[in-house]
Amino acid sequence: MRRRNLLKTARFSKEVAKLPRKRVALLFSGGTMLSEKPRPWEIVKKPEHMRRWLDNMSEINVIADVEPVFITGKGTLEIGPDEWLAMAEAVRRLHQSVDGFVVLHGVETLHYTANALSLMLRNLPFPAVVSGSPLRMPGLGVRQVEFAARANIINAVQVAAADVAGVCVVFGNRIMPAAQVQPVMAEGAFQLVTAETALLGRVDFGTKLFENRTKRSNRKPRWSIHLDQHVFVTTITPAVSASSFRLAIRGDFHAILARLHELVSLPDYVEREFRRALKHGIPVVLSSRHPLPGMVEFISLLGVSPSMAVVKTMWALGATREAGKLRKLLEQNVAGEFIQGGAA
Amino acid sequence: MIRAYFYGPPTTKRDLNDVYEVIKDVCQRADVALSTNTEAEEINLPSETIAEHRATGVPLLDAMQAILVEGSTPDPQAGYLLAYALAEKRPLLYLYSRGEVAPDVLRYLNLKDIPKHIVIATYTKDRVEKLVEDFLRRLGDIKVREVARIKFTLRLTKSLDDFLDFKTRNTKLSKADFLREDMDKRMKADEEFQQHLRKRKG
Repeated sequence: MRRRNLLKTARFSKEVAKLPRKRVALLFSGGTMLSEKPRPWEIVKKPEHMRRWLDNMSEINVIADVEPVFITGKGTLEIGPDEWLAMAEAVRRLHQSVDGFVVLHGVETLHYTANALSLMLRNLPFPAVVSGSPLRMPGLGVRQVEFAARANIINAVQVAAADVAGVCVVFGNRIMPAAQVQPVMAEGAFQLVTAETALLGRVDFGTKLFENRTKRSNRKPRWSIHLDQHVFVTTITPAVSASSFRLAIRGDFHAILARLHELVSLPDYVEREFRRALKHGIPVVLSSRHPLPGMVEFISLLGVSPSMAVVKTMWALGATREAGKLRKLLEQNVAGEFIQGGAA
Repeated sequence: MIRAYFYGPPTTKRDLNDVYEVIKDVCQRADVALSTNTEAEEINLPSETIAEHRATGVPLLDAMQAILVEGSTPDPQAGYLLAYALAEKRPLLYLYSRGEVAPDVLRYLNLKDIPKHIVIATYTKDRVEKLVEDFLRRLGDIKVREVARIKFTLRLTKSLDDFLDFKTRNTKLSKADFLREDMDKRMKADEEFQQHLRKRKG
C-alpha cells in the first residue's frame, strides 16, 4: 500500500523539474550481449533488433535521449576497416544533432576500433565513447557479469553526455584516451588499460573527469576519414619466412608493416626482402619499442601500441602513398598515440 | 555491516544540509558503513577493497549494497545513480522534497516498471528519518538505534541519587544512560506492553 502511494506521488506530479536533456547517438557494432548466455533480445544483428534491445535497457533513458544507429551485426573479430569507416562517417553525419556518441563494441578488438577512430575523428568538440564489457569474468556468475555490462553501458552514456571531448574509451572504472588504450590480461581477465597519468577520468561513485581531459567547446572537428586496407602486416620473429614477403611484393599490397616488438634488429634475409619491396615502390614500416640503427630507408614507428601501428599505417596510407609524406604522417603525433615509456 | 552510498547535490541551503545530516545520522545509528559526497572524505571502505577495485577496474559503487539519493534539485549525478541502480538491480532510495516539482529523471522512467528494489519517495523534514529507517530495514536484519530526543525532567530523592552514583561509578555510563538502559530492559521484558505494541502495529 505504502509503495503504491509513493509511486502515485511521483506519477501525478504535474510539473517536472527541467534539466537540459542530452542526446546521445548509440552506434550498434556488437557489444550488445551482456553475458555468455545472451537472451534473444541482447543479440542485435539487424537494424530492426535495436528497438527491442533499447526497450530492455530503459535505464539509459534516465541519462539521455538515445538515437540508435546500426553499424554492423558482425562479431567483434570480424570488425575491421569497413566498420571503422562506417562509424566515423556516422559521427560526421550526426554530430550536429547529438551531444555525444557511444560505440557499443565487443571487447576483443575494441582497442583497434578506438585507435582507428582517434585518428579519423580529431579535434572533436564533443565525446565519442567506445565501450564494451567482457562476457565472462573470473569469480562472477552470469547475472553479475550482466550487471557489470549494464553498468558499463550506463557509464559510457554518462560520459558521452558529460563535459569531455574527443574519442575515448570507457572500460570498467577507467575513462581513457582512445589513442592510448592497450589490452592486457590482469587479475585473470581481459582488460583495457592506459598509463595512470593518461587517464581522463575514473568511475567511482559516478564519473569523475580529470583536469587533463579536453573539455567540450565550439572548435571545428578535423575529419580524416580514410583507410587503405592494403597493408601486409607481419611480426618479425627469428623463424619468419622470407617467402611471405615475396607474396606481399607480388600481391596487391601498398605497404608492409613489420612489428618487431621483441627484436632490436632485422635478420639479414628479412632486411634484403624489405629492400626489394622498396624497389617495387612498397614502403616498409617498422614498428618497434626501440630505435633501429642503420635502417633509415624504412619508416620507423616508435612508441605506439601494436594495434595503433596497424591502424595508423592504414590511416596514413589512406591519406597518401607518396613515401616522403607517408613517413611524415607516420612519424608525427596525430592523436596522442605515442605512449610515454613505450608501448606494452 | 552493510555498505551504502549517499549522494546529495552540493548545496548551501541550510534546510537541505539538515536533511543530509538526518540521513547520515540514521545510517550511523544503523551501523551502515556510509560513503558520501557530502563529507570531505567521500570513501568509507577498507583500503584493501579500494586497491582491489582499482586493480580490477570495477567502480567503487559496485561495492555498495545500497544507494541513497537526495534528488530534489535537477542533477545529472542523481539520474546516473538511479540508472546504475536499475542496471545493477541495487536497492536505491530516491528522495525528493514534498512541494518541489518531481525531478526530471522520473519523467523518463516508466513508473509502472519501477522494480521493487527502487523506492522513490517524497519527504518532509519530519518524515525523512522514518523513510530512511524503513528503507534500511528492508535491506536485511538491520536495527536502527533510537535516539533519545524527548526531554524529561525528573526530580530524585537523595537516596535514589546515591544509588545512581553507586551504579555508574567506574563505568562509562552517565546516570541518564543507566536509567535509559534499565527502562529499555524493562520495556522489552514487559509482555503486556509488547502485546500492546503488536496490536497497535496490526
